[in-house]
Amino acid sequence: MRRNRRPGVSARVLALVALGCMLGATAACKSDAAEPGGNVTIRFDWWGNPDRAEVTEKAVSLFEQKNPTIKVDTSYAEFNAYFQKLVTQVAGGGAPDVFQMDYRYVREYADRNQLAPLDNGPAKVDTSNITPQLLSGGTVNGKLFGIPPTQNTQVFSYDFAQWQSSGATAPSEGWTWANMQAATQKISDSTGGKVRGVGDFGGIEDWFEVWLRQQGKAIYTPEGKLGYTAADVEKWWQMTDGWRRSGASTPAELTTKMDGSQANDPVAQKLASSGFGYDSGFTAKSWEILGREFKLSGFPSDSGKLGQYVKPAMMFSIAQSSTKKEAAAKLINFLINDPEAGKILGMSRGLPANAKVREQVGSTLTGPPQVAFQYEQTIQPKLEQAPPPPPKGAGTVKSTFQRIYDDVIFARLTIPQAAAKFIGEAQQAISS
Amino acid sequence: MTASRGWRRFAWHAVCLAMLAALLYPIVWLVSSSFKPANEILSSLSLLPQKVIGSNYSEVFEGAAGISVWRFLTNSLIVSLGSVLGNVASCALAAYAFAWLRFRLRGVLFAFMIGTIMLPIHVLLIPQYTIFQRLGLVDTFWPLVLPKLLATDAFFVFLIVQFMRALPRELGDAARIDGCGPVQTFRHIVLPLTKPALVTTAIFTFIWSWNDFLSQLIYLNTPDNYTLPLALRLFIDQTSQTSYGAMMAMSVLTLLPIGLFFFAFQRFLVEGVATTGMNG
Amino acid sequence: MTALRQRTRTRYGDRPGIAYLFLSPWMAGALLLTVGPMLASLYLSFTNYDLFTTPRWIGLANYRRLLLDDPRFLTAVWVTVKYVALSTPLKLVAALAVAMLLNRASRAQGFYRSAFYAPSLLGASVAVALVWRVIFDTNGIVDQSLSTLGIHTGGWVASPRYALLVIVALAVWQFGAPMVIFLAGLKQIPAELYDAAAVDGAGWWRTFRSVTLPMLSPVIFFNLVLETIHAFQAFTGAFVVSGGRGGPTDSTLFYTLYLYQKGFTEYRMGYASAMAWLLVIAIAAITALLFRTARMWVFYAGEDGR
Repeated sequence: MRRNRRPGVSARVLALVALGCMLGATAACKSDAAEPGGNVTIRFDWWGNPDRAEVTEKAVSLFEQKNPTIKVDTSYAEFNAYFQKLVTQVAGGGAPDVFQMDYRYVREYADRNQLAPLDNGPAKVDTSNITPQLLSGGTVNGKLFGIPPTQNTQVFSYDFAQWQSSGATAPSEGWTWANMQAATQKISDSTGGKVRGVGDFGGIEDWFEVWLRQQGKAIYTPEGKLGYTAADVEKWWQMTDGWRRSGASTPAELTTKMDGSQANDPVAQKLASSGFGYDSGFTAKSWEILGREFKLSGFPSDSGKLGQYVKPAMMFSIAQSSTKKEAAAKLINFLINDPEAGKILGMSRGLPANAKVREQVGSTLTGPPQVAFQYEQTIQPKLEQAPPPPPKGAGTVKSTFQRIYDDVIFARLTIPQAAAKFIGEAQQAISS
Repeated sequence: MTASRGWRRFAWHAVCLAMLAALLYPIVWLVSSSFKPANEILSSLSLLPQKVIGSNYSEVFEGAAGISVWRFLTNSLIVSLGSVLGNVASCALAAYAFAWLRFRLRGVLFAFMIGTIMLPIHVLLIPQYTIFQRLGLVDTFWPLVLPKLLATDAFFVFLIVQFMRALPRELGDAARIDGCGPVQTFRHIVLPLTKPALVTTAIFTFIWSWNDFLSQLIYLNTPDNYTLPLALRLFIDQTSQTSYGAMMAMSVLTLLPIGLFFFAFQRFLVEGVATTGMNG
Repeated sequence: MTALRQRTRTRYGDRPGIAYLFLSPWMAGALLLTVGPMLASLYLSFTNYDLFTTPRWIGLANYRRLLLDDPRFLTAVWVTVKYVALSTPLKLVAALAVAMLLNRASRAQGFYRSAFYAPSLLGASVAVALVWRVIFDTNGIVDQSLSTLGIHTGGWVASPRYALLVIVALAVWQFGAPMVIFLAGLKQIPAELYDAAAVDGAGWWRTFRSVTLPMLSPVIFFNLVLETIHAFQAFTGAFVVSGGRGGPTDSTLFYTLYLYQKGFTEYRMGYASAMAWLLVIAIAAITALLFRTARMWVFYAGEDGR
């Protein structure tokens, strides 16, 4: 039976037909914009946890009540799963109308014409009450493609009880990196290394960025090139690696696991007593989960310049392919500007970006979110404007930064070697 | 004689149990963690909770996004049972053709079928999504069940082929002499004798389609349509606070149905050629 | 002439179309759902495709860059080869050994079978990552046991030297699927073959060698082929344990994990597709090799030694 192997013409033809169907058939099946009776149904996707889901669903049903002709289908997942799904949908022609967007991806999607402008045209949303420094974070080539419902900023948080008992000097206005090194070293020493002063933060590009900005540099130039050189990286890693070697920060085995999850966070595991983060990370259950209370402070700085900025935690965007942009814009408008919606949503996505809503929400807070709110109110005057969204490939640069820092802490490469390797890979990542 | 048999049985149990103790340690830890408060889960390796709490489970039973956990369970059952029925039927048919029938393109098609297993799914994801999108089937259960109805998982076709090829050839000859055509041979001889393979297929299809997070994530939009594993993942968002306790409880709850399914159906594995009395 | 015609006919001589009837669901599935996406990915492997804009033809550039100018690609290949070589034999031996152990009449068998399968139920759920940490972390059960023996390895998950072994262990731990398939295969071996062996006075080892192994060989072959293919495609274990990063220092950067990073976090789907097809070529070559050697050791009762 082997001998008689004919090419299987029919199978080939059928294969071609199937391919044709797949590649050829265009948007023929796309659902129509208007449904009978002038009603429209829009889809709204976001990432988050069940707590966020609960209040979001509530806010959405209030929206439906107020706009009886619009029905909203919602869907949500956790961050990584969400983005895999979103990109599959967008590439496969099934993008939701409204979706939550990340600062890191907004340029990627906007450059490829997947997002509708929100400052003009059918999807225009009222942004008059949004913190102005924030909107630059959703602006690509002068057009607004993402509106942050909330804002946050970088923060240093520390277990003040432990700092006190170890005799470490607590952060105060104008503290320096040397102050921080001394304090964290003291904690490690007083606990015999059981609890380190700080989780090793050398591989996290976000904190490197603040340090750069303190020196008047930026992580990316306005043209989307790297805003620093191998020498800067070297200097940063010299500092953080020194802390690790002296025991002020966590050892390599702990550091390499840090992935933003609580399970792998040395602070949550009580193996480190302080760390950098974003202030939106503090929710009502934070102290309960961390098992102790924390105080918040701005970053240390040697230049007197704080380097921190108002960061859009996330954004709402509208798909360029959406045929129901007005309804979609109405929903975003409602979620960010409506006082009743603000009351329902509370701090579920962080501190509201709308000044009026923020005031209203701030007065009702208790516990960790209140600590975060107060911190942000105090530090707000010193915060700079959000840099424009990072270029395509920035996500890769960020993970490369962390990966190559692993080579440093496991002593696989010398610091100059690692810095040179990083710059090479980073440039490749953002070039093509 | 009896003493030695009793001794051997004891040794057998001892070996099995010792291996199980090592293998099941992580699962026991998982179950016990589902009764621990969140901060203890991450900080303690102990198998016994310091304080047993049930709140993880009550959190789960509250459901997510206002939808009850029973809804998720029902959805999972629909998807998995539909997949089992479709997969067993379609794979058995295809396997019979490959294993017992002679036709021109057999070699080519068989090689092609094996070939379809080799491509990593991640590059197929978007084209496949596009097809279902064009067919208007996104956010229904069809993208999850249809591939099973059409035997696209070559793993199972190949599995059943291997079992069918192992059946003694005299069976086929005898059937032909009795005047059985291919359809009768399939129904009355081959199918009953490959029961272990079919049961295996059914069990794996159930468990794997139950656990198939990626497809469920991509194709199901409305929370009303979510399956249990999908809902489980809703408890862990790394950018916001994770409910580890609820996650553990949800893991246990997700495991329970497939564990029960396995336990109920594994006994059918016992009945094969060796016990049905139809030897050769 | 007649003889030749007879050979090319179906076993059921006069109805050759019947085979295609049996195959029709599978063929419909292949045409509708498999062939198109496969060809699409092949085409994309010759393009620069960022998922959102039209793919741009760039010929062999992706392949050239992979083979000549991507050190991480080579790392990924090496990690994967090590993983396949370690995990496949270990998993199969464990599966076969436990299947043999369980293949005896006992009322407790159902319980044991389910218990041994239990680890596989977990699949690659997120809970696994947490569970695995408990075992292999510093002061986890493995570290503690080894320390009492005087071997100090520290935690394995975060060690560039041992992290791959953690994922191998995860794979071997979940030996349930091949075990169940082996069990089903063992059930299918006719009892009288064992009776005959017993009459011949064959011991345990001889019976195993001359009855069990040959009769089980189609199933062993199936498991070997499928486990090898799956090991080459290993993804979820590494994804879950390393949080999708393949760390520390790329020591668990599996081939498909790297492919995923390229395709779904860097949005270079053309490049990822080229990686996928290189993998297909490698797997196909190895599978073909296995099928070739199968003629020497796989015994099909239903067929004569063609």
